[in-house]
Amino acid sequence: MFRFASAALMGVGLLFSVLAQALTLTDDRGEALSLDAPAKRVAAVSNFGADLLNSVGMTPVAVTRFGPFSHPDYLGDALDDVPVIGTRAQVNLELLSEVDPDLILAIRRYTEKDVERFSEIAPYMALNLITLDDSYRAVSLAGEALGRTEQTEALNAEFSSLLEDMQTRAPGGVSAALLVTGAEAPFIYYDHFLTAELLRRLNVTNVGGSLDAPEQGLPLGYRIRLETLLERDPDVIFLFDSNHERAFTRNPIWPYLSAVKNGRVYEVGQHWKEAAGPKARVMVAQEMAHLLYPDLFPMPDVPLSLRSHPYTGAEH
Amino acid sequence: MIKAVIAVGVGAFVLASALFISLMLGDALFTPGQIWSAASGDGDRLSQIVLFELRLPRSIMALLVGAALATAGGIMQGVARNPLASPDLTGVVAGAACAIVVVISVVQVDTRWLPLVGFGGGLAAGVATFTLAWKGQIQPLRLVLAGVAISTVCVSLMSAMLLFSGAEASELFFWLAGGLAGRGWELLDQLGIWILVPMLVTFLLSSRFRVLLLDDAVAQTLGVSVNRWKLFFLMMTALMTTAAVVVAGPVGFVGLVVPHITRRLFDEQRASWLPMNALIGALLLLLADLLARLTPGVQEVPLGVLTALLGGPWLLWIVSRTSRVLA
Repeated sequence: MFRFASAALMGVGLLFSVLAQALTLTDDRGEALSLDAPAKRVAAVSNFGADLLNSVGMTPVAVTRFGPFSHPDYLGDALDDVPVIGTRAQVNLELLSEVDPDLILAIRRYTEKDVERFSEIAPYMALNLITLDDSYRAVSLAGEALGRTEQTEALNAEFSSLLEDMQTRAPGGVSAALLVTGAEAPFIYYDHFLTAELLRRLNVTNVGGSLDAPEQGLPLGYRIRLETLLERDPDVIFLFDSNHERAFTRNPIWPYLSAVKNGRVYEVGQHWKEAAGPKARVMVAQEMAHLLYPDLFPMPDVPLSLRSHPYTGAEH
Repeated sequence: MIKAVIAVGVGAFVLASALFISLMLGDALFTPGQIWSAASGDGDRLSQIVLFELRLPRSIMALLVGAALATAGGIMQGVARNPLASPDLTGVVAGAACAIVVVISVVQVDTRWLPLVGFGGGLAAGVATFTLAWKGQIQPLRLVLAGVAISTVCVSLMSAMLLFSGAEASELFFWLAGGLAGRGWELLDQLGIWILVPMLVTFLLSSRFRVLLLDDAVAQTLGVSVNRWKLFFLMMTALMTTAAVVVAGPVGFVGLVVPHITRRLFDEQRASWLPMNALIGALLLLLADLLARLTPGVQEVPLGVLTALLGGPWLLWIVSRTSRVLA
């Protein structure tokens, strides 16, 4: 009788402990996501995932490519042996299933079309990762899913405090443009894109302007007319990574832009495009602050492969 | 003859006026006085840059590309004896586009080489089409089939490459939609001659082209080597189309629609038909480019989208008209 009662009590205890660990979260689609326990084997179908896991001392079971790299150098050698399962937009689902994850952290706009197939493999957490708020929310949400809420809340608080400090110290009076693509007409980011939002936190005017309905998230920007770019004439230009020589920098108007005349055009690293992760966003904010106000903010420690440098320009 | 001179004179005046208007309109409006000041070196530097480094080369390119595609379309429809033929049927449009997409996707290449790559790809596809079409002579049906086959292969390869091009895909899609945004003098220097020379040659030899419009047997009796001249005009078409595609991307419908417009206005057997056809093509593309530049919103509408919007309904009209005639 006593044995039976003990076993029953243990069973109930175990049940309670499992139930206590079970989680129900809501991702950026507004969909409920159930986990039996905090995730241990996480597939990072975005650089955000790899960055976040690294920041809380975990290693993903799989990662997607980071632009031209298999993984970013700023995450050290922790990812050297982690399988690469494609790009954030094109995941090899066979490889993903082979690593048997218990959670998939993915960017919503690239992966939502395959939600059913992802969900068959593991619980799928879709994250917007467009704005600064998205970054804060994603860090918190992923922290809950990993059972690391305390750590992730601390990361958010630290970053928020860093931005406040920078905003207080940044004198402003500067305009800037974030340009990407190698084509004849550059693509410029709107204010709500995370990296552009960091400009605003540094009291800088983004000449890309704002989307009429920023809450819709997309598009992230638009192809700006060269005439418009010349008219808005940014003081600083940040050129995002491109696979080939940018054709618009060979246009005859290029040398007449103030940023070009003053030598304030910088090629920046791939992490500026994917800056939602806890480490990436700190590096981008600090590097941006240094490039905008070199006398006030020191250059942070950024791996050579990602470090920004002055754009020497195409030949004219 | 007098009528032809008047028509060309009026056309040239309209063209010059359209060019002037395209210089005036843009993000900022320039008055004729401001344009004159800028041209005479009195205007401010910014106005000079906008007018002569951005708007002028772009407008000239719109004129050249429109003229080239219309001329190529007119020749294709004449040689293939098919009112639905267009420069695309030489395979060069898909060939040039495919070469550029493949190179951008596979290797890191300086953008200065892309015109050469596109030009090479277009010509290679053109040669392949003509080789397949040639069986002792150029048969219109074989030409159409060969062009469709080569284009299909190129488009398939291009689609596969687009899937693997990752971050470059969005800009490749943008290029494939066609457009003249950001194109400057450099591109015109590289490719202008490849549009102008074949076009002028076809104008000068338009009497031969007009003979090809007749029945082959009639043309033979007039002492014209039909096959040789067909091949020659097709080669000219391939050259100017390839150059036009490399400049502006695959801009559709101009080559298909403009010859039909010109035929409604002028007799195809007139000496001035090919130049007038080119002039209308130039005007149409300049207008479409102006619309692309002035569309409300922060971003330009791709030129290819506008020409398709203009050309699509026209094509449907031709199809419905042909159906009625057949019925």
